[in-house]
Amino acid sequence: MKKGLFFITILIFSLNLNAQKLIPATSAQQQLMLEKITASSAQMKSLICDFEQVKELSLLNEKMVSKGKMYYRNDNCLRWEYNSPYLYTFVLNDKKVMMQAEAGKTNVIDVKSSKFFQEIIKVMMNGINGNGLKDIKSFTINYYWSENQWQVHLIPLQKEMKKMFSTIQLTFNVKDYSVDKVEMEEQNGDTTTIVLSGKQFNKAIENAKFIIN
Amino acid sequence: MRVKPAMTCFFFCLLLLVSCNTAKNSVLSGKTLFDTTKVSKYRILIKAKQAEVSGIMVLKYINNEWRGSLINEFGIKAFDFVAPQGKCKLKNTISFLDKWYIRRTVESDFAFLLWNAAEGKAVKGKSLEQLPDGRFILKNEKRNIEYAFQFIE
Repeated sequence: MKKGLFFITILIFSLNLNAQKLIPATSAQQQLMLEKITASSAQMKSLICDFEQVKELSLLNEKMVSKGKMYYRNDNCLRWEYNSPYLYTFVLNDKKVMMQAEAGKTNVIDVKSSKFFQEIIKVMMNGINGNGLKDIKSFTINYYWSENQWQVHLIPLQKEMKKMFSTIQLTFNVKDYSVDKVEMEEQNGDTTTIVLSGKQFNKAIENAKFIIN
Repeated sequence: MRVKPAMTCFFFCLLLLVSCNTAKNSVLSGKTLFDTTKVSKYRILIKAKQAEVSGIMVLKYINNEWRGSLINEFGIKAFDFVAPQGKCKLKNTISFLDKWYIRRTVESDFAFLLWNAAEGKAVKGKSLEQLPDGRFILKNEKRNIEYAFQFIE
């Protein structure tokens, strides 16, 4: 009896593990993933959340952890605020980008002036709103499925992005189909992982958050 | 008034000693700036002719050499560096910085920062000074480049 119970426990445990294990998605699963994520992102007018960014430095065998808050609004506005262990603010307001490293020191760039910047911003925005799944000109897109989470691997095709990143992995939760995690693998072996938490959808975000001085 | 030769010699030596001491004090010791026992992180602001770039430098002392990475605030790496005694070599340099003249300048500047300054050796065209707010500034006067470092953790 006890032996039977033991084997049943092992079976249930291994079934659960299989459910968590990501496998390449079938065509039908891909289609479902694309539909659900696209529908969810279409309904997302804004997103406020906390983030934790972990940079793994392969040469030093060390990690750099930074934290902050993100504000996204679907009129092409994004505010990325680092508050630990350093202060740094990145604001995208339509076609302009502002970067503030410390009080009084601000750089403002016209996104059109730099192809590299355009690509980076596209990745950031499309990663948050899920539109990256439709950008088949910029990425080879591979879908992975499990009961508990979905993952999409974006392999850059454009020259500038390809030089920097080998893969960008987006992990979606299967409750609200929003991005939980972004993992960027650089060509040099480093990885940057950004985990989003405390998400608040469709809250009003004041324009002051996106003002570029 | 005639000064005796011995006195002249004495004053000359005194002057020499004072100036040597002053010269050593004007070059900060890298070893007092960087901790060899743990990983250190610094805010870095690089000013060149028409550009100003900020980022983070992560520094570690391993096996009698300095190793570090320069990344931007988003975690994108500009380059790694490995600096054995007296030298510095850049590795994994991001494509738009991966030009021989940029690598050579940065390698020379970082070698000075980590080694020459540590041994109190002044190098022509380069200087290192500490500001009252704790930041320290490395200057390459020939290329008109300034690196400002601020300790984070």
